[in-house]
Amino acid sequence: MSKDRLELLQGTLDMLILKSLDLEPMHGFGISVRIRQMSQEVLQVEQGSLYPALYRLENRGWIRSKWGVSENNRKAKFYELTAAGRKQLGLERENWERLSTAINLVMGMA
Amino acid sequence: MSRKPQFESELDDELQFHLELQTEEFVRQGLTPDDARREAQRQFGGVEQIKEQVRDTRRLVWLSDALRDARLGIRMLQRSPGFVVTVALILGIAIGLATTIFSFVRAILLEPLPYPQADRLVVIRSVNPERELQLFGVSWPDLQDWRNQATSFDGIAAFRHLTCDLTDGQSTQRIHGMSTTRDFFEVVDVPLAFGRTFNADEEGTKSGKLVLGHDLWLHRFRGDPDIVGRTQDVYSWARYPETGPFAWEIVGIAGIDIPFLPTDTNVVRESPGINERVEFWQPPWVFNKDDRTARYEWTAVARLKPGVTIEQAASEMRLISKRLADEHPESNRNWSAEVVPLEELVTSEIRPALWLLCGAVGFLLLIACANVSGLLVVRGIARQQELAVRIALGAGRWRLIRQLITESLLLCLAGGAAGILLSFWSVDVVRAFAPPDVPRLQTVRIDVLVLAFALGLSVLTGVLVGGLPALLGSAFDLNETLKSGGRSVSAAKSRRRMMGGLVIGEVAVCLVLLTGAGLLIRSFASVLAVDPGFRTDQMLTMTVSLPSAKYEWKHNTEFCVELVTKLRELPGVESASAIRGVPTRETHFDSNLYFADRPPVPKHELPQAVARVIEPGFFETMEVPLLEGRLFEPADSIGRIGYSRVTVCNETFAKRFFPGESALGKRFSVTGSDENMMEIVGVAGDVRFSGLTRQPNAEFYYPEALFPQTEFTLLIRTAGEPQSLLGTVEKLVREAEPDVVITAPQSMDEVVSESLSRERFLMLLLSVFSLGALVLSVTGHYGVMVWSVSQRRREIGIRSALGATTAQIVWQIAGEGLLLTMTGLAIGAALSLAGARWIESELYGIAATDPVNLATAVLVLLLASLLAVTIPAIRGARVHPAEVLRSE
Amino acid sequence: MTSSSESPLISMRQLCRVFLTEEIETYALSGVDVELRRGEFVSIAGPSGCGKSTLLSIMGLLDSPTEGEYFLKGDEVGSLSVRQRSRVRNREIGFIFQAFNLIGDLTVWENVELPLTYRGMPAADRREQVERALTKVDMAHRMRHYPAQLSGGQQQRVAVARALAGSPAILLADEPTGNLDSKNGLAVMDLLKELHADGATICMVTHDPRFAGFADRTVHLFDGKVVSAEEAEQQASAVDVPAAVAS
Repeated sequence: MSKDRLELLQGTLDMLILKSLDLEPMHGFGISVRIRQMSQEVLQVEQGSLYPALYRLENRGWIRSKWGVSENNRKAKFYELTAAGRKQLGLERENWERLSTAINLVMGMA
Repeated sequence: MSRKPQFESELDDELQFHLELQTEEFVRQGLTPDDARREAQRQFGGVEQIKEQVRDTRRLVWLSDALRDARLGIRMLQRSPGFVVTVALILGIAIGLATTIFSFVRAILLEPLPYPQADRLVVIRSVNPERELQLFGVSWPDLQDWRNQATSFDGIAAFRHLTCDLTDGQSTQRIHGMSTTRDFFEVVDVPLAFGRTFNADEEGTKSGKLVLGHDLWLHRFRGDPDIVGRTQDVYSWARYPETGPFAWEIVGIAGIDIPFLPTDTNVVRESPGINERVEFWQPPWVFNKDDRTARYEWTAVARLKPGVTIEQAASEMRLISKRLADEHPESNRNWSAEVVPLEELVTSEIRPALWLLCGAVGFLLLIACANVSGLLVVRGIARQQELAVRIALGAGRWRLIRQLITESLLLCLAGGAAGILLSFWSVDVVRAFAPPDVPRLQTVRIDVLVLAFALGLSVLTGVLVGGLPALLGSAFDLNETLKSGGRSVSAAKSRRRMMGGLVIGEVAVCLVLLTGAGLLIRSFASVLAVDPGFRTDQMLTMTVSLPSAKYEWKHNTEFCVELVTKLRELPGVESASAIRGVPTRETHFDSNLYFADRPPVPKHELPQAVARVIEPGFFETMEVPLLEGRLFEPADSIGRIGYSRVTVCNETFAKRFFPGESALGKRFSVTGSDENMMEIVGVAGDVRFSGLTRQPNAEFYYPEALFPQTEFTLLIRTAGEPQSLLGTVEKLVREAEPDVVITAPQSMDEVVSESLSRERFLMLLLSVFSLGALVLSVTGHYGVMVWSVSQRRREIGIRSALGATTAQIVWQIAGEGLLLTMTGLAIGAALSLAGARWIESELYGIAATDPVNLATAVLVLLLASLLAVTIPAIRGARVHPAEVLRSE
Repeated sequence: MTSSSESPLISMRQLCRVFLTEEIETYALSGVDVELRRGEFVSIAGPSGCGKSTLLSIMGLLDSPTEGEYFLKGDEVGSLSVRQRSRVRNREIGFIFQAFNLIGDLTVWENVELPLTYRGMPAADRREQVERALTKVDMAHRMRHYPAQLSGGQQQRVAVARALAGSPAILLADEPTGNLDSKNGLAVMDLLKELHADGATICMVTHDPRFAGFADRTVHLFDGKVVSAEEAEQQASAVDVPAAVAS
């Protein structure tokens, strides 16, 4: 994924991360894999943006972290959604829908 | 916080983990392990970069958090403007005063002296430990030996202060300057703008060469560079009979104006200090070229060689002195040399007073901080609920503390701003009040460093003040607090303990300040009560200097007497006289005394006394009592100039040299030759010429007619207000001699008052500080009591329900408050006694550990505390138990 | 034990207590007549706002009646000064509150001793009284503890000891079981019953119908007036509010 595409998604990255944690807690690598899978390989998150975003989200209180053991028995840092984060996810989704609808209208796509 | 390295290592682990999994995935996709790892690294884009980005985010987050805290803090403070104003007021005053004092410290102690590399300049003094003498000066022969033998210095120069009259035929200007050896310019590093310094052959003779100071050159000679090489009429005004040639050649112009170096070897008058600039330089006239015992004329200033320490230089000088003592035992036995940094000499006198002020204002600041701390604790309690909710929402304890400290920081910065505003005004006020001989007084001002100090102080205050309440405010059991709506027993206990501790601390510190102020007030009163030895009211004084161009001292015998006679005839003048020197601020020269009928004594062990030249009406005009014998009669004033056959001595003289017997009829001379014997015909009361705080010297008087002066002070007893006669007197003096220079026209009361300016200054400042401290600590105690009573309403209700009368409740509450006071008083008393020596040097007539003073201060504080404690107790005891107990 | 030959310990006649706010005059009590004989255990019952607490306050000399007379041990105490009331209260009244109201900074011992210190009793006598009281309520083993270290039931027992220590004429209990669970509440009531059996005079305000029965008789209050038991029943059902409503 080229750099400029990703910058467009800067604010949206937070939403994607929140969404990917919606189902269950995950570590950083797993989050990037999940986003890739759910987007059918279109969206690949750069680690350079992923970890700063995780730090930001945790600081805001929308996710929380805990050290645990991964599937292959290694020490890993797991993130999970907080109640506040879940609420935020809902808000972001609403925003996104409104925004994308508006843009579609402008661009002449129904 | 040790969280940073932990954070870093965790981030490291996290990223490594990611990398490993990515590598494994590539391996699964078919790459070799090495390729997989390389590909993973590449995709990862550099672990360090990522870490850096996370770190950046972290910093940004921290910054935005801090800003958010600040914004929140401002909003919180906006809601309680009264609180903010109160705190800003309290802190503003304290920080403002502290800043003011600091501006003094900065100007006097911290700023380096205005000579290039001033820290390498030293003064080499003569000391005689056996006779406990410490002189600024050095004899000329010793000086030459020092210059030849010492290797620790880049030159040793000698100087002494001098005053001259500069005239161009039309106007005369009195100028102050130095007589220096020519290497002075190198040693002190005074560059020249034009011309040259002195040549070797110009030293030691009356060569009539002059180097002008820069400012003088600009103003008097309009900056004309052609003045170099021309001659000017400079009339040197020296103690010695021979005046120099009237026309002096200006050989150079200095590039800068340097302040006078400290010394006490001025020949005629009080030395100008570092507050004045040198206006001219002359080559040295050496009168006692070979006399090694003449140590009172020249001061040696030297520059340390690079790399040489003061200790090394000092030990070298000691060695050299020892050598000289061995070579010249008659003159140099027991004499040594000491090396003192110039900076130290300039400030040594004022230092104790300055530290005293620093300590006092520091105490005041502590009390103010304690007050504000208490206020914050109370405020924090009111916010318990809000804080608990924040914690429930996920704020860590440290976040909470950070937020609380941010708020207190904002408050204290507000206080600091108020303080800075105050200090702009107070620096001017304090500087106006300060004694004029405080070194470098004019450089006291608010500059960047002082502002930075104020800012730093505010921040420090903020952290200090907010720290404890923040720690307390955030330490509580969450459940308990949320359930009980903000009231928890254990937190209440630690709060009460802290408030109690604050009160104790404030009382203790306040007592120390009160004791200090009391000592200074008593001291000042003692000084005021000192009998100066003469009547000070309704007396006009002024110093009259005759232009040395016209008057050689030998030839103006009648001027003073005639002038005084004319003055006596003025209406409104009750009596008039004159004296060389101004009473209470005169420095002096000691004369050796050779008593008739006593065995000869080696020169350096001769008794000494001060000679004063007076117009015979002096005693009557000043109303100095005659104790024995008679005063001067007209016949005494007739005789050979420079020799008097009779003298009047003062009481100290008589008691010291003729204990147990009458001094009348005794004879002595000051030259050692029998020709010049004088007989004591009268003993008069002591006059405190050297100031009210110093013991009177042994003194004796000469009639002016035999020792005519070209400068003397008129003493005019007026019928009415002294100032009212000023114009008339001046007119008369100028009629007698138009070119005369009149200085310091004042009433004698003013003169005496000025001599006390330092004592007064300290007393006023410390009184202001301790008054502020008293107000703050009493109101602080009052506030704590009010709060404590309100917290204990329930308990008071219970006690009342159990049958305690109002009196019993008041007794109990007030008693607890008084216990705090007593503890504070005990601690404060101990501190006062322990710190007594810091104030010792500024006291007169009272010991620093004076028990009466301490007891008075204790009493004052106790009474004030009584009020602060009883009023809330009485109010609080009037609780209606039924109401309090019913509500749950 | 009642003794009809003795005059009543407490005699309140035509007691009125009016609370004045800016606009309204509230009659918390109007024309209340109550008598207590020595050794009686009386409970005062009624819905919230009926004036029970006010009556107890006046009885305990925490408050003065606006009108009417209050005789305690034959002396008129309704019109005493604040100071005098304190003294009488200290010697003759023992309070037991719903919220225990022990002083947190004092130990159990010091709490029980407190009313005695207001009397000027010498230390030796105080020690004796306190020991006796604490033993009676079975809390002597905790005498050095602080209230915060005790359970609710234990705290109330200490409060009872405090009320007892000065040998008062009467014990006044305001919802003594209100802050306790049923087991502890029962324990405290048993204690009161025991004290009554030993001859103490007790007047208790309570909502709990289980405990009202511990008393010899009940005084019913409604709207600041004494009413009979039947009237109380009627009023209760008329308003359709269960009698045991927490105030």
